[in-house]
Amino acid sequence: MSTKQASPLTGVLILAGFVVLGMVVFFGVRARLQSGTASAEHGPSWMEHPLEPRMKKTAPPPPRTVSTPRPGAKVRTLQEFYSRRAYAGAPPIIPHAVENDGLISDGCLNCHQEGGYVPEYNAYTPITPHPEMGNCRQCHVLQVSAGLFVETEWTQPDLPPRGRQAIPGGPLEIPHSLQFRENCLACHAGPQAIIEIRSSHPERTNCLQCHVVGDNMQSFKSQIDPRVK
Amino acid sequence: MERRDFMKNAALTSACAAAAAMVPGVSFGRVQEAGTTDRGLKWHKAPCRFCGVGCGMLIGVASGKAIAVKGDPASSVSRGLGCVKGLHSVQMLYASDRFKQAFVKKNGQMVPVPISEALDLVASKMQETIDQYGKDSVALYGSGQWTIPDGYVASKFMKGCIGTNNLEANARLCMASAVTGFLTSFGADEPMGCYDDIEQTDTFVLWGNNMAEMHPVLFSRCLEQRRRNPGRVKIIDLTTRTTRTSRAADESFLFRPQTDLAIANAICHEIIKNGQVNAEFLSQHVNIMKGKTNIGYGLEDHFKFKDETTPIDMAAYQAFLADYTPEKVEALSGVPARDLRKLAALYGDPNRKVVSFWCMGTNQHTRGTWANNLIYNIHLLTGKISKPGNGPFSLTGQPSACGTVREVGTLTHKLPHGVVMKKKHREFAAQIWGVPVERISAKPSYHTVAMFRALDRGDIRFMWTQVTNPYQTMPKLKRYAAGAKKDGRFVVVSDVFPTPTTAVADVILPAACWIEREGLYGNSERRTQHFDQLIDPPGEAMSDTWQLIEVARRMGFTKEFPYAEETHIQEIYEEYCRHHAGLKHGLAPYDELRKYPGLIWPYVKGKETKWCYNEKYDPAVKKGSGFEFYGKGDGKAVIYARPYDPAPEEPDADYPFWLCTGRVLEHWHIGSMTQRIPVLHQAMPEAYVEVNPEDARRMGLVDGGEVRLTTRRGTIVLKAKINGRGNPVPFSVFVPFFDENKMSNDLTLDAYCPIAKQPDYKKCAVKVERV
Ligand code: SF4
Repeated sequence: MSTKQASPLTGVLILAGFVVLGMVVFFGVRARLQSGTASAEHGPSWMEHPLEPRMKKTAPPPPRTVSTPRPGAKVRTLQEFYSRRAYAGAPPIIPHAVENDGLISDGCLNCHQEGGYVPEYNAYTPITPHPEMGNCRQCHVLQVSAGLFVETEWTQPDLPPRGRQAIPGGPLEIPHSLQFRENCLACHAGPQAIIEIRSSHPERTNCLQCHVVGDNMQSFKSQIDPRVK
Repeated sequence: MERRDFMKNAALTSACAAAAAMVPGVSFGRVQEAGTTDRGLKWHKAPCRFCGVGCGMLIGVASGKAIAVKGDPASSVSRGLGCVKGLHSVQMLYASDRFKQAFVKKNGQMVPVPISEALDLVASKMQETIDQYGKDSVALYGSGQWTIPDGYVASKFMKGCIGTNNLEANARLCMASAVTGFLTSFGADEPMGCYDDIEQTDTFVLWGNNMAEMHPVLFSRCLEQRRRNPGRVKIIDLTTRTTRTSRAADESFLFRPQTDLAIANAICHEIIKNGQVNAEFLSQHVNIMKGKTNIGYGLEDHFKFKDETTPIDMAAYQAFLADYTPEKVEALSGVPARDLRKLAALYGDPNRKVVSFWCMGTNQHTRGTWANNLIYNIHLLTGKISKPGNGPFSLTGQPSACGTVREVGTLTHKLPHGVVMKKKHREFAAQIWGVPVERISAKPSYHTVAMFRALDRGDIRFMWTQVTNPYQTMPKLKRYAAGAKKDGRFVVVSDVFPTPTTAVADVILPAACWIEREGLYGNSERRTQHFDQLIDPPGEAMSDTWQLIEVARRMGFTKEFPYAEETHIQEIYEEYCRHHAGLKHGLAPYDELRKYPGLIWPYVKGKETKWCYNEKYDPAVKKGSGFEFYGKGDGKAVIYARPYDPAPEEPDADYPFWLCTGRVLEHWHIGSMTQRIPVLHQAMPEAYVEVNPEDARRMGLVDGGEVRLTTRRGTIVLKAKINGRGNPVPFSVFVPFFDENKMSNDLTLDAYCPIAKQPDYKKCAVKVERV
């Protein structure tokens, strides 16, 4: 039997297959994630720690910004996004001057918590996905010179793949870890979003209902759970 | 077809998966595979290479290269956090000027040689020197960046095989005062509490500790604790210059350098006066003693000091404290009496928990041991110690200052367990090492400063340094750098990059760095952390452990170093654990350490001991005693009456400013690693001098203008930083020490604490001129 003559029953079967696959992927990944956390029953106290529930929150508030950028405003591109990071996942540098270098956070959140249009740059302020972390300068530094101390053989590693789906038409996989990046909308929705990775459906804020992390979470969990592998 | 290409084709992958979906389960496996091989990236745990906080990191490795870092959410230290240094650490491994082969000086030129030839030369030169000048003419100088196996092998080699106590580590320059402080007050080293204290306390008192820049992840935990308990949790900063920490704190008290001694006494004075002494705790668990006064500053060669302590009673202690009323101490320190009372009230309030943090401000101090004792006094008087949320907590700067230098004991007077002076301890070590006990010398030889003086004089002829850069970090640098270059000195340096120290070397051995070899570190909270070798070292680079073993074997000590190359780290660690077995210092087994992001010692029956000396948490404490400071024979900790003494060199008419040196967030100690990380170098490309705006106005100095700093030892020119991230008080300046092109240690003084032998990099007199 050639594929052209596939009976309606085959189509239904394939469709059902997709559904089953989707469920297996979704619940399978969840199961592995949950089993990973069980390793904490031994020794380390991190499970008791009050930071944990906050780090694990799943439904961040959507940013209170208009969803369409004003005409002519500069849009953020992925190229610009990665140019500010040593590798995918590294904390971005601060690309603008900071008034008071003597503060752990010189009002950073005034702009970066909720975003908004900045006439000076004709652009929208990127929103931090982790506004609860107040010690901004712990990770984010200025760049006051362009040179190198010595040459380096370091090259920016491959960027995370985009557009990967488990099945055609299925939800896109999340190609990065969610650690401190749980507010998906910070980068994926609103006028400050990165143009290439803007969500087509920002009104549906329960992102993790359909999108799962592709790799990172599982491979590191297995490192600490003696029962996995 | 390569897996990578295959995976790139998303449509094809999906089609395959769809077909396989008819059999549930199979397709799941396939998709999982796609996930884990994506970019070929695999995450492995490792402690951060840099500071003593000891954040747990996950290192992303792909195609044999370390390409990414993130905080390990399973690490109880950092809980997924990291600072900008740790999060970019892997980049340093790829700096173009890595040493990939050994170099030997021939006719005044450094020429590359196979590493085996260099190791032959090191061994023969060491033997030759011993034959000619005796075993105390050779020295090994390491650091708190040594892994535990590096330090253990070094100790066994020098003390157990060669038979000299000429073994020191740069941790002498950063936490010797903490060690002597712990030993004098408690008879046992290292903090009794752990980082979990942060989430259990109400009050953080930071003694000269710019935690926001130096221990950023811990500071974030303090901030989080305050954010979750608004109004209740307070961060109090005691400092000699305004920093990021000061501005983030609830209150910041500026004091005149060296008067922390008086401030601590004033707090005790007030606690007693206000009846806030925990009398029951005091009577059962504490003795009061005094030691010698007028103890000197170690400025001259062959300086010797031995403390003598005598018990005193409460009345004598109170009489001693009468000199430290808030008013008298206000006059000395500049901190208003009202603020001193406020501080005393925080410590004294029976309903308030207090953690004291300190690091170099208290330790790099010509009265460092005293300063440590005095902070303990406050906690002992109030009984706020060895309890969750209550305790004195001395922080460290290097990733394994505790794990390697303090616990393995890579100091002249130490053995892995105990001290060389005690026969019992020598016998114990000799038995595990399998060496004749007579071989271990009973006499401590040179502490760090004395060791470099001996090299300068010619009493030491051969010096091998590993993982440290003394020709940038020694105080009064000119003298010691010149000493190394004198004729008849042989200097071997194991390092990763060219530094001012490799510049004076006769032999350079290329070292494997951090995750290029297997190892273990121990952080400030007694946590031992294991890391696997994740990538290959470049060229012929070799771990410090293996370099030492190679040389020891060449010198005939094959029996003492029988380890197999594939398993030597495990074998060494397990041998080392035998020195500490027991309830008081038992270390976690190797297999456990491989599974978890670090485990705290004493590790007893599969459990960490988070609070030592407290019966509730510490199985080594005698049942029914409540608390037992078992480092001391009678189980009692000691309150020491230690007076205020001035600094050895204070500002005067010729040198009217105070000079303080220290670190910045972006660079870790000297910048040999962090300057090679592009983002960090670009954030902080050179050292500067922070000048108070009033002083600048008076001198007609503008931000970025050049300033000449001159002390009795040297002079350097730096750009002025006015209203930068730190603001020194008038007539004081601050200089970061990371920059090898601006040697701040040409200026510093080599005075040290007579008990700890740790130099003071924070205080000397300097002349400040506009260029
Ligand atoms: S440098 Fe210190 S605070 Fe920063 S990531 Fe490393 S261990 Fe943590």
